[in-house]
Amino acid sequence: MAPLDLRNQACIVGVGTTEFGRILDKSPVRLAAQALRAALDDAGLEKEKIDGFVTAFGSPGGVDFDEFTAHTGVDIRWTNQYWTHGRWGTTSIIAAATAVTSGVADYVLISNTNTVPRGYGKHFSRFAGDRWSEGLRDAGGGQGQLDYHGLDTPGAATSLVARNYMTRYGATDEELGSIAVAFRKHAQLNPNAIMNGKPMTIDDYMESRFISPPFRLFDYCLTNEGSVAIIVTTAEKALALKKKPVYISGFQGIHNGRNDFVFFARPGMGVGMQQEYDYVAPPQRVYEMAQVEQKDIDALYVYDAFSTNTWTALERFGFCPAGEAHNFTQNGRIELGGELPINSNGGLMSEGHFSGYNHFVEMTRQLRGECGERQVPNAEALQWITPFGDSMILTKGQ
Amino acid sequence: MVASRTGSYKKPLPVIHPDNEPYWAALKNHELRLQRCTDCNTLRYPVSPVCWKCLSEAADWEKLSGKGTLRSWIVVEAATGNPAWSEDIPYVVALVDLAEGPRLTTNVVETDPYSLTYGMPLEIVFADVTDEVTLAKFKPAS
Repeated sequence: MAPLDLRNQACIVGVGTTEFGRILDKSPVRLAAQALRAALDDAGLEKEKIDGFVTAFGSPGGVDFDEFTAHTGVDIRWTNQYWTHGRWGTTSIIAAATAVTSGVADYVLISNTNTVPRGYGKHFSRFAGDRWSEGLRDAGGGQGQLDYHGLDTPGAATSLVARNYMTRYGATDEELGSIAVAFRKHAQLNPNAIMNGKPMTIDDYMESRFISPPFRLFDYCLTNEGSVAIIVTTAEKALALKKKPVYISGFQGIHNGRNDFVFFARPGMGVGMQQEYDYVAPPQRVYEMAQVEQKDIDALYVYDAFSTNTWTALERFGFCPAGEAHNFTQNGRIELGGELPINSNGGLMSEGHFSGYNHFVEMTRQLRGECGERQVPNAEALQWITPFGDSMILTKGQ
Repeated sequence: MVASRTGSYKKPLPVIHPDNEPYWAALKNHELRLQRCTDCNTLRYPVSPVCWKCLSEAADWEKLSGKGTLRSWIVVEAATGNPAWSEDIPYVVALVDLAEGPRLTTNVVETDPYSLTYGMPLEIVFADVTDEVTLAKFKPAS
């Protein structure tokens, strides 16, 4: 039996966010409920219709499905819960899309909430401690950390990728800085971006302090509080709701193996356990499923936890050959108005780190034409990509 | 169990349990040993109860030379994770390719952090950080 063709069979019909901020000092449940209300209102859907729930919990403290249903009165018949931190955005929405198309649920809510230890997390002792759960593995953390050798943050680990990349391909600090500068520029056009009202030039970037060279302060995403809610249903049911549906046209999952996700590197870079070789992007299922190609993508959304993720993700998906992304991201090409705008919301680095769920909200609003002065003209097909191989293409449908 | 803290060492310590205890016991004896699969001959890293190549559980703990080359590194200039690392700033976290093959995440010590070069030969330093734990670190080869 051939695989089911799920292209354009499920849609995003409602998106909602809370205020985004470094410290909001609101509990995870309060934030999750606020985002839920916003998404229900956006979709024109009653709470009682929600019968499926997906979360990756949030980072470090969000709301799990038991707690969520108890507090909100949402009554579900299907749920799927992933590990905390980022990485699960695509997987969560794929799960929702396959749930509604299989009929195991009709209206699935994807909910993710972040609170930080110095924010509302201060009330919860479980956030205390110096180890990330992933770092407890003998093999190091999911991002390659090994805390007893002082590689105890994802950022430090990813700076090893950056060091490797820049040395191998001759990339400069200024080229790296252009990524943070582009996303910060976009945040100036996004009122809910945490860095709205705080423009940054390349000189500002170059003058910022080193944390783990080549990474300066502004090569890192933000840490922050807030919540995102996204509602998915079938294409058929979507037509009865308030706004024009946004179609889930193509997707592919996280790729993982000893040559894959290590330190936010694409394969072939020789960091962590990876072999080093000349990477050539293989055909990607996401394009085949969506029936579009790289050249059809009107704007791109990248899991930009760290600046170099943009380079490794661009190369992983074949937007440019291995070793050329540092050139590709120059001269305004990735800025709004450029050839391939990236992270029109400001990204994790300047809108806020909401694990990419905020990027899916932005893609939805862009395809509806709701983005005001940061609107990508004639946006028809938008793509989400990560360095670890998962991806989703959203379109206006046909 | 997390190795108990004795003395003034405040930084994170490895979780030692039966699967990996021989690795840490060897380091305490100032020997670097990794598992070699007795079915497919793969030198195993990270330490594991199972061979990542053939899934065999059979292995010998092979003594390694402690020689390697510097594959890549960073100099950490701000302790943004555990503040206990502040006293070491700036310090080097490195990827070291062992002569026998595996690539370790480790530290390069006993040298100027800003003097390192790609591919430079390194040799192991057995860092006795507590009475129970010795970490495998590296320094420029003599």
